[in-house]
Amino acid sequence: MVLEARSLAAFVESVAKAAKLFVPEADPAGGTIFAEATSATAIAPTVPNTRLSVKSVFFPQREVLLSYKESAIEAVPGVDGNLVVFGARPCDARAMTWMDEVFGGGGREDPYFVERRRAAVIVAMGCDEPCASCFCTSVGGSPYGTEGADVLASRMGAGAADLLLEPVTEKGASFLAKHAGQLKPAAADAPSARQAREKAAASRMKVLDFSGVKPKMDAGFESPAWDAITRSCLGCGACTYVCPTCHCFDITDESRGDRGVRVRTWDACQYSLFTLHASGHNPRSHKRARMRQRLMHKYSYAPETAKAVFCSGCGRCVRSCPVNLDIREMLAALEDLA
Amino acid sequence: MSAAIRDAIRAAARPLLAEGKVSLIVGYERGSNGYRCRPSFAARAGDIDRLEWDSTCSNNLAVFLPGLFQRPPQKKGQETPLPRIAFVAKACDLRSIVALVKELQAPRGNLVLIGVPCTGMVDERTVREAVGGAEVASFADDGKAVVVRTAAGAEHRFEREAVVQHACRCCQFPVPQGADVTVEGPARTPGDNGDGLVKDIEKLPPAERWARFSAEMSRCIRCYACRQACPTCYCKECFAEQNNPAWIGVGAEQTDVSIFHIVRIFHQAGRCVECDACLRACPMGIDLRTWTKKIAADVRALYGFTPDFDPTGKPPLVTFKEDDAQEFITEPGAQGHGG
Amino acid sequence: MSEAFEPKIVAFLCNWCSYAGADLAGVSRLQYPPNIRVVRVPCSGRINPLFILAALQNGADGVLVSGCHPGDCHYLSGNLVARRKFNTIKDLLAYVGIEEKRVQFSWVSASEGGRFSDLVRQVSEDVQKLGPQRRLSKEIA
Repeated sequence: MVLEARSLAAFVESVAKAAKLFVPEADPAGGTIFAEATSATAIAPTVPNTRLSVKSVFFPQREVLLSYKESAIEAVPGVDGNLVVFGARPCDARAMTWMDEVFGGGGREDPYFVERRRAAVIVAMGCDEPCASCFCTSVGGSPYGTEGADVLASRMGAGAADLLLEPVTEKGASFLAKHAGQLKPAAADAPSARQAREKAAASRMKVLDFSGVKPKMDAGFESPAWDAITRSCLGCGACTYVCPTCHCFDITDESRGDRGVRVRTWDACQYSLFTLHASGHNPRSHKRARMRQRLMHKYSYAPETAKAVFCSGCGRCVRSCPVNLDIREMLAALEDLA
Repeated sequence: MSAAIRDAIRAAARPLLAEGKVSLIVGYERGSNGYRCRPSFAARAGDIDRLEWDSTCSNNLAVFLPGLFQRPPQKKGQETPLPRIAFVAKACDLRSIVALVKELQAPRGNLVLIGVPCTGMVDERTVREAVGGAEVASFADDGKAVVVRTAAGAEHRFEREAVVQHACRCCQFPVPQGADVTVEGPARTPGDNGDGLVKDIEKLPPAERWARFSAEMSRCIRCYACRQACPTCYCKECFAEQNNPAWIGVGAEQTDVSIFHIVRIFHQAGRCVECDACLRACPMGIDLRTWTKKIAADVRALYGFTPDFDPTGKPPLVTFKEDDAQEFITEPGAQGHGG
Repeated sequence: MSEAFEPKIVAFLCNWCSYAGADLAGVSRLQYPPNIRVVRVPCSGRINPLFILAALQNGADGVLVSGCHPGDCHYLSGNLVARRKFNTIKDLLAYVGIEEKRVQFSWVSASEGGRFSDLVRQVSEDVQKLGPQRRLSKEIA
């Protein structure tokens, strides 16, 4: 289906009436962030990508899990599962499939996350202008990738304002049917034109070969190379928080008197206190061990446990690192491990 | 011009390593996106040729000092020797290093400081906004103008002053003093410390001040990038992460976020060199400067102190004068209230 | 501001001077508003600004900190070092938009029962006029 530019406002209104709609909005400090919107005027172009990824819609920075009084649970907050995310990049959508695995796979279900995901629709927006820090094609993704997306949206030509909306899942097809009033049928050649645009966008990215990384990492766990590549790390956690797949969290109780709330908040393996034991021992007391953990979790352990590299090549970590640590450089350095 | 400074830095650094005077040199190198510099660690002769200098060398390198001099508790008489480390230091970096030396984070004698006069660093964010958020592929600075080329091939030319960092525009100390080696180079005319920004906020009523503060802080995700990038934030256990007592919650709840920033900034009293490392590190683009400026301006106004190059002398918040300012003290009855 | 609003004010009083001064006000039957909740500390120098912020975050409408007069500190210089801390945290709180009269500092000696009751009356009136403190007050929810 085609969403013409002149129908965008009506389409957004129609969607926002039926669900909680999240779009990339301009941030006063520059850049964009996902925020709830009810009108199309809110949508801002995302080049580069949004500051925070789509994960923050389904896995918020802070979430109240339950409230308690004395030693009894008082209430468990309800979760709004009627969500639509419009304008996520394919790298973010793909990352959600791994989040689904972490929070809902293997017979473990995180009810808060799963409830939000169940009926949620993700409309991914194809990328025509990958940045220098993007590397989705090096990790099995693509600028028009559909993994994790329910609908693939793409601009119908360079700088065009009309969008081609193609259903990827049943959920996506129902979503388009629901709002068909604002959409027009697409021409028969629209998908192949989209393929051509995808090829053009992908060809702008250099494909790096990370296939040798896992065995090198596994064999070189104690290598001094880890020191060399992490010397400038500040341990700030920015990379993990902006990452669409990083999912570590902390659970704390915030009490006052005999009542309180149990909250889940984002946590980061990059913090020095992350693995501090009550005894005082810290198995990852040095930042070399912490960055090693981050890289191996994504490029070695996840391939073993979840059959996927937990990195979608979105490049946010590269852009947000205050000392310009670059995951691609770090992986390349590890490839050189003897 | 920056090539000459770069060469002078390398020339100063090379013998330090070669003669074993230091085991490590902390400086800047070219970053991974082709134009921005980032911290560099030179431990071998070959690393020296990576050292760079230009107007993107904005990281405050003093942030690495506490970690480099950290050791586990030592047995008396069997202490492992502290390293000797050289830092390429702009004046702001140097003032942070001095603050750390005052706080016994490293002995001055174990530091070799290569001072570099500064004409101000270019603000990445200002440039990015000025090119409409487009990606910057290359960058050239001839001292008067900055020419930026985007990935799409568009070329933009800016007057240098228009894209220099706010911190640099009002910098009072562009020339490092007390370094062991100072390379030759142009420096900015010293500014007026920029406390005018603070006065502007102080003209606003409390509700307006709070509106600004809470709006900026609403974007905080408690990533602690600001804290980690700050050279004078080096507590092994930050108050924000203490759980006995748990002063504040760990999440991005509005009062927890507000108190985190208020107290972190308060802890910088007399120590903050106003380098804006915190602001640059923030992944959410929060304008921390509006509030970090206050604590520095206050210590200047009340106690006549700005962190400078003198490693002797006590930090202002651990000392006192008999006649310290007292206007803030409530004198009951003084304001016409009944007795 | 409703007539019925009774502010909750946490008062940190140093043991040797201000707390004793408060005690003197009590035995002298001097009246003062019942809005303060006293926390006794050994010295005003013991006050960590986090105490003030914790009080506000837990719902205090105002905070009063009082110690010995400069020069009279039982520990010689505790209040002198504290004076700088107090001045800077007070200014910073006002700067971010916490009304200036919500957090007040004073010096009250052990013999100044009258001064203490005057101080509490004044601070209570000041905070009452400002209304409930919501900006840093955390809802446990």
